[in-house]
Amino acid sequence: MENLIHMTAAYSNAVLLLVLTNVCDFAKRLELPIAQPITINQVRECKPSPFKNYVAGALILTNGDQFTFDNGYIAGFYAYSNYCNPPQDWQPQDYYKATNWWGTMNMTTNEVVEFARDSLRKLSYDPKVLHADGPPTQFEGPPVLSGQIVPCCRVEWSSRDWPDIVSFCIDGQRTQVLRFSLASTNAYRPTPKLDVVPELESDYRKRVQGKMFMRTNAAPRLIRPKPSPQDHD
Amino acid sequence: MMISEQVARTKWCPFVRIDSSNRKHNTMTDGFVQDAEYVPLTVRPNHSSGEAFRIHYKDTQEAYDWEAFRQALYNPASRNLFYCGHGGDNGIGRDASDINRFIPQEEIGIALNTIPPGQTNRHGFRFVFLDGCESAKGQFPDAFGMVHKENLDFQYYYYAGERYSAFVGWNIEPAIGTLAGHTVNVYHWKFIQNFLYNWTSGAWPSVREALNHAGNGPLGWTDVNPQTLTVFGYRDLGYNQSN
Repeated sequence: MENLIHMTAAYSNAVLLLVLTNVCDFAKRLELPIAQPITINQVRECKPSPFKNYVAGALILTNGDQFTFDNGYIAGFYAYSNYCNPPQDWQPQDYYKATNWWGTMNMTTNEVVEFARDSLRKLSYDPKVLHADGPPTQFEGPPVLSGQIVPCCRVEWSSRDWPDIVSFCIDGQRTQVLRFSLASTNAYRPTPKLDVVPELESDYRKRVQGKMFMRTNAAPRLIRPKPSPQDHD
Repeated sequence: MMISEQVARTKWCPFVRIDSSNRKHNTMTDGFVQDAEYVPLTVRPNHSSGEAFRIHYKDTQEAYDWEAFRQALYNPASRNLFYCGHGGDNGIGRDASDINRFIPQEEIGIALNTIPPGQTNRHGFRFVFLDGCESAKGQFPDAFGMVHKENLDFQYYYYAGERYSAFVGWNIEPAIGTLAGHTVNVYHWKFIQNFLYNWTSGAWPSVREALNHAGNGPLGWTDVNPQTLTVFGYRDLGYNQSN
């Protein structure tokens, strides 16, 4: 594949700013518990896509929350350390820590579903267009761990009959989105142009190899003595 | 600058750096080997550098390749498998009548001590993706020592005290090859590459969501419907989680 780009700090930072702008807007609309405005100091990691003409990236904040920017929109959000997103380094013997997620469910099933639909509206998506206006195709929760409720429900609208996949995890105690994923061609937005134009990795390598040759002590070009007239008949 | 050139190319975006020949995205399967060795994990059977092990097709070498694959599969340290090729709900390979070119599902269950369940010397796999026809319809999850239930979440593993594992298979006969297997369907290839990028880059840490978003990724749009893939076991398994 010839479309891998040569990653530079300038390009990475340009993607970071683009993703961060979208993350700020997303967090504000969904009223996520993150101090606004989100600044660079709150960014722990940004993983830009290394593909030409595919501006995308994942952003992880210092509080552990992760956002994925894809096809011009925030397609994914994972709040850190909750029932829907347990830390990946946990081993079975660490599961006792999940007792921190116990709580009280303050929402009914219908309220959870409607809250998920409202969240789509807040993000300027029409639930009907995303096939999320009907009953969810999957509804899970709230789970019970060691006899206590974890106030977390999962709502999903997906089917083999349509291409849209919408899923939410909702915190039923604090009425918050814990996790969001939207895969739908209906959600695509034009990707804004970046000021930094990335160079293809293949072009970069050709250029660097050329420079390395130039750095040698060899003469810039071979100078041949002009043939004298006697050399010719 | 908010970050340095070194951080941009190593910590935040290591892909270009490790992919010196760009082979990762030129082929459908090599990326799985390159990313695994980057972790680093040992990749079996022996293979050319950066290349997935290939089984010769209709060749005198074919039976030897299948034997090497078999040995790798049953190596006690093997815990992950990505297979792309012929198969069905009853085994891996193109000819179920020829045991030298086919690994039946029953054999896997016996060799790994996973069927019948409850054996103390069972050899369970962590991640298996069988990229072949109707691989989700058989008893493969049981054979690989996984939970044969779809889309499990944290609650199951909390009570079971088990390590996470996931099996990915197709409910359909995906159009992987065209022209009698001589070329690969570009959309299928792109889908697998999109999935590989989504999952290994951490853009989508959950295997189910990495699949859900592989329909349109860095390699472009595909006509593959992610809903035709089933994930048995832990739907949110991370790329290197519980490895």
